[in-house]
Amino acid sequence: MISEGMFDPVHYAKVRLPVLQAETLPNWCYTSEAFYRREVERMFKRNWNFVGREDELPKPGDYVALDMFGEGVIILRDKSGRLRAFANTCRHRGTKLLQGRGQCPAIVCPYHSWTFALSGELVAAAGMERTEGFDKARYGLIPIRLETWEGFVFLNFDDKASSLRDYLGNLPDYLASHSLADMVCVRRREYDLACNWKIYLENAMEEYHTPTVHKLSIGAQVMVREDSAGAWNGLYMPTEQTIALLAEDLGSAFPHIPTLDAKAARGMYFVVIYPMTFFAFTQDCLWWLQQYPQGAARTKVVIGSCFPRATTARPDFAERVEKYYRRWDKSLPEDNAISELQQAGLSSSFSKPGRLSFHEPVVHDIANWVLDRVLEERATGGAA
Amino acid sequence: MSDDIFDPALYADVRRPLAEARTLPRWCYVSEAFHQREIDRIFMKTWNFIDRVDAIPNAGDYIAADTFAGPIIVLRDREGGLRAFANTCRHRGSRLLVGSGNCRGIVCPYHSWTYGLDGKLLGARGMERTAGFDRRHYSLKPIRLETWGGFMFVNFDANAGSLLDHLGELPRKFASYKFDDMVCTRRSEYEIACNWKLIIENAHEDYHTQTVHRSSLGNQVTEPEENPVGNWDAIFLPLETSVAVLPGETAPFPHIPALEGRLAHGTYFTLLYPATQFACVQDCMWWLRVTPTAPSACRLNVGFCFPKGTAARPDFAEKVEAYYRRWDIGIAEDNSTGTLQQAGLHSPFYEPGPLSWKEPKVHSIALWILDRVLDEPATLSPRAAE
Repeated sequence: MISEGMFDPVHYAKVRLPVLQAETLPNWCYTSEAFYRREVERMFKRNWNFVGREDELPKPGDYVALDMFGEGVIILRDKSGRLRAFANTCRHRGTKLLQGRGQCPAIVCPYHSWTFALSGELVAAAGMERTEGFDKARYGLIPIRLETWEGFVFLNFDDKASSLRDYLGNLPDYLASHSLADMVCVRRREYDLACNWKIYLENAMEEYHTPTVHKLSIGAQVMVREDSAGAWNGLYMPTEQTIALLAEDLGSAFPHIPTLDAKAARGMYFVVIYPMTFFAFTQDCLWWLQQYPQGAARTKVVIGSCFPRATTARPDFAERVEKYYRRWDKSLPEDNAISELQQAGLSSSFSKPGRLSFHEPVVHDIANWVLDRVLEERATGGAA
Repeated sequence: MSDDIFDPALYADVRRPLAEARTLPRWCYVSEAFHQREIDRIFMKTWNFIDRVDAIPNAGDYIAADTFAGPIIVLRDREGGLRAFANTCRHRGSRLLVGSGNCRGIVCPYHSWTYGLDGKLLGARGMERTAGFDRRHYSLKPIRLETWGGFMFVNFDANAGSLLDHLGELPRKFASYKFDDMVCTRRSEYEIACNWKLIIENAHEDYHTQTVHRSSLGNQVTEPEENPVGNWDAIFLPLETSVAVLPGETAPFPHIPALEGRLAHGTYFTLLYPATQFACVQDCMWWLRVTPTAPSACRLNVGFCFPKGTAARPDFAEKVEAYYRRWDIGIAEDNSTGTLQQAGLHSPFYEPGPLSWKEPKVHSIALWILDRVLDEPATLSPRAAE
């Protein structure tokens, strides 16, 4: 593995070629902490990162505390019903304020009871009355940018970044007929995996592995590349029936989303929103895989499952949705296991870049999207 | 302290004669940079013991092992030859095999790329549109594998000398153990929260035995090997009976016939540099293979071997329990000591300590390592001028 000049474009010339001439990323892109830190600084902290659904925090005071690549974040709904995000650190001596999920009328620091309103304002700081020039108004929680699209919540750590709408490009138009604002998240599951975040995303966006990895569950899938403008990439898979159920459970399928356009009614979309969110939009539901990297070789993956509100209101919903859960609980561990195997193999000091199949164009796109952001600028005046 | 932990000036006290020497500085046991230097300059360049040939007797038998150089596969091919490969697919890098077993070919669990037992890529469906893709360029990466006495060693450096060169006089000295005629009857594995050197140092000094093993193995008084030739060292424990059962128990198995010289009169606790011990007794042998996994963590693989004639005895399964009991107790005691020592070495207040005359090989091990990891002195030394 190289350590010096790791970000020199010269090491990546073959990754930059067209997919059928290209090589895969060098293994250090998956194993090096230095490469990972560069991704955090140049990608994750500058781009919009998906964090969940608005409907997961329905009432004022509902909150969730997340670890986003080392940054502690609180997302909550304030008293006026507005969603807000803050850095999860007390303005006194820095203690983490909230953990997990829950409900609170205000945020009380567990160390010295400094108390913050849901708006972030510091409303009480007992024992600070003798501290010279201490002005509570200057010690509110530090806000983080939060924007939403059709109920999907995204954060951005960069004040200068353009809007979420700009970032998503033509994706909202593309999925307009899915009535996404009307979806409700009904289940979340977390997996803690010994793999780099890119490995998981690459796996989700290529079909080449399906006849091998999923041969006993969901089987082979065939997909078509979609035109995208914006920070996303999509694959369309023609299918008359939902793929969110195993073949033997198709009798339990819920009705299709009534507003689907002709194409959406006869297939489904796999979408990656860069840098690290995967969505599957089927005719009857959607699920996402959101990644929370914990270092070069460790990733927490959250799967969220959503159905139209009308479907969740059906009297037989609780019973029939179990068949959907069964499908996810079967296929995801297969992808989790192969991802950890791939990470283990890539840690070989003999690992060399491989070639890509025509089944893997998005794997190539992901690599190049990352390189566009993490590499040093090419020296000017060269032949390139 | 100098900013450069590989500056030889920092190790002058380690280099003194044993009676005046100090132990290695604490960073040698806790620093990520020192650990990485050991991997790069020692482990990646030398012969590393892996396992016995009798672990994979038949064509298609394989073992997958995790090493400091990532995962590897050791297998027996169709012609009966032994081969080692990097355990990583040439496509997108997945680990191919896990654990041990038998296979006719190696099929990647991700996209079904298929390799022969000779490492050649035989099938890669779905690659037919990839420009200039030639299966012949994507065989598994071979790793050098050589054997001595039925023991398999791998070397990650294509330019290294042969295993026999590395071992020097050891094969001749130990010929009458007839290791070729042995079989491994039990293996065990431990993850230990300590630097690999702590396990190796502990295994080659008797000073700790009357404390750590006072309720089990008891005190052992050994003699250091004088001037070993080759990358090995040893301490010899004179004892007419086998040391492989607990004191007070009688070793039930016969001695290896025709043991020569001192081999018939005690145990050689033998260090095969960098990180393997062969404990060679009159009736059996066991190995300790230490794999560094982090500055403060290592994996210990232990294997117990007996002559095939002994292992074939009808009373073997019953009587060998006395050996296994002794090993399980002794190894667990040493592992606990390693963990305690590592915890203490994390204290910033630890300063290098003096060594007892009963710890000459702890000193030798430190010097062997320093010879390989330190930077050359900046000035032209007499040795460099040769």
